Amino acid sequence: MTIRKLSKIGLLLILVGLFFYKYFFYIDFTNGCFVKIMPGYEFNNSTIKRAIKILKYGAPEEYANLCAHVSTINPNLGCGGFNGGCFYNPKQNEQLDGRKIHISTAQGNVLWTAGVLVHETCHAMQYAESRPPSEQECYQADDRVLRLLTQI
Amino acid sequence: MKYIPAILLASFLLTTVYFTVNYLSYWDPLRLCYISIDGVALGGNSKTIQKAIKLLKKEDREGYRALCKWVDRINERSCMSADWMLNKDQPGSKASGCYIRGSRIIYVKPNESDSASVIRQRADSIKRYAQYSKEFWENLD
Repeated sequence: MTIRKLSKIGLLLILVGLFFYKYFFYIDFTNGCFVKIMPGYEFNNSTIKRAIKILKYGAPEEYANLCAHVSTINPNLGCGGFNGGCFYNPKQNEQLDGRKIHISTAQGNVLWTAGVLVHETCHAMQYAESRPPSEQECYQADDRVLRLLTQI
Repeated sequence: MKYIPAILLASFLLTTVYFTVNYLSYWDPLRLCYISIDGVALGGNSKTIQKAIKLLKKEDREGYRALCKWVDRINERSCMSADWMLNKDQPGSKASGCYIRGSRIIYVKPNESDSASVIRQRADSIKRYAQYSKEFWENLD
């Protein structure tokens, strides 16, 4: 194989890697944050990525919780419906991933998405800490972050 | 003389790009100002957001500069400043919009009207929220 062919393959691999990095991963090396974002209705996943970045600067504690307890985000419709979120508890099915959350971005509302991210992260934390699921606790968590993030 | 067709074609393309971009968002290439505008299909009017930005540019150069530097997106939708499951009476929905801390995004409450008073009110809100964004990023540790 010639050097020319190798460089073409290398370039192609780099482009494919950049494509996946841009659309299907959130990576923040400085804070050790790696989150996979599956393909969904909004192909470029921009709403989820923007919402994560908002948490990074606007609500650093919630961002740290997300990075520590979530490894995969599914942006497709889950049990939360349009623009809602969902956490499928592995206690009900051992094959489920306790670090995976579902965040629908059907309405492209970045502020609400930030709130839903915090809500579902709260459920992932409850599972990781072997606590019973509590909707009230997680509603309070997203309510707190929405109040923190908005300046009227 | 032989460059004239190319110049004409380039001018046509640039003009087309300018008007297309400005139809969907706000772009002022001379001031290096680009702001994406996400309108709503029903109950909103993103044209009055563009007019409000132009009004700000005309009346308040400092406010316009702050907007171009600290805001990159204007969303025309109500500001959900609390979880509706816990707060049936949304405090943010009554406001003219809000700034989202940790971003360069502002929300402007949807309004179909294109009256001068709505444009004025939007210009004032956009200016205030751009100032909030400036303060947030300048005070970030």
